[in-house]
Amino acid sequence: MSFVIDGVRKSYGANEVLKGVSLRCEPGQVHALLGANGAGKSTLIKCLSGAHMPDAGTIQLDGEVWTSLTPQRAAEAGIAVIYQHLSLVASLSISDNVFLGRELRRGPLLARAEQRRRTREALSSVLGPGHGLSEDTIVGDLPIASQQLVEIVKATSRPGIRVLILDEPTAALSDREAGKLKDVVRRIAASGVHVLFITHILSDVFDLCDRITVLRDGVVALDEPVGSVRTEQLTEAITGRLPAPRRVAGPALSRRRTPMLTVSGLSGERFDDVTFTTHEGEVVGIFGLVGSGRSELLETLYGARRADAGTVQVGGRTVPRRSSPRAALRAGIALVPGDRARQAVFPDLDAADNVLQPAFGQLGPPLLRNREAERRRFAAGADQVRLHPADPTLPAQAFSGGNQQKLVLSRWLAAYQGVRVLLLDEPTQGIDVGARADIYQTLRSEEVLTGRTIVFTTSDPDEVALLADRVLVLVRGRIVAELPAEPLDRNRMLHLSHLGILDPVPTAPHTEGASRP
Amino acid sequence: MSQVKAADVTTAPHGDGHGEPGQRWTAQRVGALLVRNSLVIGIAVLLIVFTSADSTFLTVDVLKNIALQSTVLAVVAVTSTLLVISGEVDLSVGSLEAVSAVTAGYLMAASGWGATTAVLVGLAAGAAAGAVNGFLVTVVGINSIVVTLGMGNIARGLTYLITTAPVFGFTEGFLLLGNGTFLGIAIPIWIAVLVFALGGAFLVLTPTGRHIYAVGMNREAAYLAGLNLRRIRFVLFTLNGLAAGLAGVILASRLNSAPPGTLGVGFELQVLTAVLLGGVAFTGGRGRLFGVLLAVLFLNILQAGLTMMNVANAWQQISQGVALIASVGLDLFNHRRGRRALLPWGRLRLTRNTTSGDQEVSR
Repeated sequence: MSFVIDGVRKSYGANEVLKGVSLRCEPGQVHALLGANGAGKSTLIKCLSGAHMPDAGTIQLDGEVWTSLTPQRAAEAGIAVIYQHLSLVASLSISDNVFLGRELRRGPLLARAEQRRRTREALSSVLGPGHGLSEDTIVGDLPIASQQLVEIVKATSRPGIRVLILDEPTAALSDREAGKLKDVVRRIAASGVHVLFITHILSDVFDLCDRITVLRDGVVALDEPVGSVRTEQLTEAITGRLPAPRRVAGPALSRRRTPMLTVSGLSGERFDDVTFTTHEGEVVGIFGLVGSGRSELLETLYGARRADAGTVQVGGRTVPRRSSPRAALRAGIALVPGDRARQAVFPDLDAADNVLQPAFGQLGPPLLRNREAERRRFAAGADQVRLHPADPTLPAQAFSGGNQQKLVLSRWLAAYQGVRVLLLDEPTQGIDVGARADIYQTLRSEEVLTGRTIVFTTSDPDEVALLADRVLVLVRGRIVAELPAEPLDRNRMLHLSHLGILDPVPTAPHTEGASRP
Repeated sequence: MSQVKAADVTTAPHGDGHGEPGQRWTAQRVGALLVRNSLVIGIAVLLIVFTSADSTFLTVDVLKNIALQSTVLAVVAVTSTLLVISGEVDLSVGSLEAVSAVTAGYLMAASGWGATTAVLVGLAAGAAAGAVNGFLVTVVGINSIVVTLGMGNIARGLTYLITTAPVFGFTEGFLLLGNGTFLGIAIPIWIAVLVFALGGAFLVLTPTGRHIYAVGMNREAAYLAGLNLRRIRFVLFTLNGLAAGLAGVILASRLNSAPPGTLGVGFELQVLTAVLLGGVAFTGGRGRLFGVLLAVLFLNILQAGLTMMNVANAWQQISQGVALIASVGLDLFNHRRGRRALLPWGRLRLTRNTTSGDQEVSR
């Protein structure tokens, strides 16, 4: 009686994401699945939920064997996945959500009283006594943590549930909320359900889980009972025992130590009291996991989100509080957003139109374009970021992910003039190795860093080591430490960010102009 | 850079289903070519059918007349094309036409104003109503379909407030606008050609012309690229109102009358049909002015031919509706081809996969 994944393989085109993954979950146990971004966790979940078909391998559950699943078959088999983006209908009550799509009927009518009664029972049996939720509460009125619990109740109250897969459920939760969630997960496992718990946060693993599987580059890098694994072993399995990566040579700038970006006491959605200063020619990394508030921080600096408190200065001049991307650009701040497809690229427009959008109005006489200047800017930018192919007429969607990112980069580096603070949110997420190296090279070039400062977020320690001059560790919206990037103390950085505020953290250098080594 | 090989370009697209050389590829290409030039083919078919039904159809006079009939639609189709590319739509243009025509006509016929000032005030009325549309959509943030449907009613009501009886008895100068000729070609045709040229120049030569596509294709990315979404769309709504006003005064001049209750009724759907049939995506971000010009001609040839063949009005109206729905269907078909998902369920599966991919990427 167990849940077994055996030799599952999956490729997208030439890119093999899962190279024969096997793992075995025992009923009543919580099984942790860890791995860096791109290790194959999400793909594996999709194979289990039926969203994608594996190319090879089997999925076995209590003696039944599947070579592929569809969403319907996965549901019939009793496999439920809870994603970070919840699938609840915000305007409906808890009981209406729990029975959505399998409503109870009495003749042609909805048996609402029965649905409410059963929901009430499910809430107290899954969440335990004192959960404080009413079956009639409108889901949209609940905090995220409670919505997540409702989603779990919804999944586990389906008849025949045998496997519950949770995709980074604690990423967006406070410690107290996460603790409550873990209690619920323990109770569910104790009832004999197989639980697969995907997480980045090591404390979750040691608190809750019975067995750990680590994926790296599509293979199982570690598979052990929790009791026999040490933290160092885990971080090593996640990041791999790579040779210390060679840092891109920095520019020989005589750093004038001119402060360029000064952020003090900035608070906003998902981050709080953030203070730091960066200088001309300096590249600062913000190391943070999913849910740490890293994207929200950058988007607020860029004026796309509202700041609740604090000030932002560029070159000594304060950026207006009621900001917008346009106002931020006027102040010299630009952003390469984290979600390329949704926030940055115009897929059907050609490369030149993608790169030049903000620059069109800068180049010509009022209200007119200057096509010769546009052509030159595009060519200069393509050269600077090593765009491949450097064809201005090709639609953006015909470029690889890495080259799409180069288009966006080129937009602020070569096309639009006047960027002094370049913000990049996860600049190399989902990008192949070659393009990644090109981007690092570009960002650390003399040409780019003269008169500019760069701030980027990442959850990849290698990226910090390769790109940053120093790194700020962001945990649940707070900067908990500042470390030099050369030499980089990876263990300390990972330790801080994974264990977060559960650990006694050395006092964070919160003061303005914090010392650089 | 210099050593770009052809192979790189063809391997660059990923997962879009292209790239199989050989027969199938050619068949696909021919199919795509047919779809892309379907309007030219359609116009040719119409001309052949109508000429074989009545040999007098394909004469210079008939064609000139079709061109003249096309002008009112053409003028508004230009600005509406820009608007739809930016991801918005204006369903008030029929009523805006009437407001402008009735205002200008009333000032001339009842108040004795000169033609020039009356026309200018009429155009200003159209532009002002368009600006109100723009304000409500971009500043207040109401959906443009709702705003412009409401504005259609409001503007129609306003024309009745000005006068309930059809306005007529215009000045000679005003009648020239719709009925005069210049170098042997009707003045409205000159105006329509000018508006087309201006629209094309706007799209190609101005920064805003490039921004329109970006705004329509990915509004969030356009916002994060620092484009002024409000100003761009506000300008387009205002221009669309102005163009509707221009169409209104041309129509009033040609009819020698400005009936508040009937002028421009149903016009907005003709405009939308022309725009969508011309290959502009209803979802925004994609489209060319030239295709819309062909669509305007196609629709007017169709109407002239059906009228000539004495086809009942009912069928003419039905053909309009079919054209509107077919235009979007054609666009959908055209775009599914490239993704090798001709069947509706194939497309559904595709959409779901990308959605779950999004979930993974987004925070």
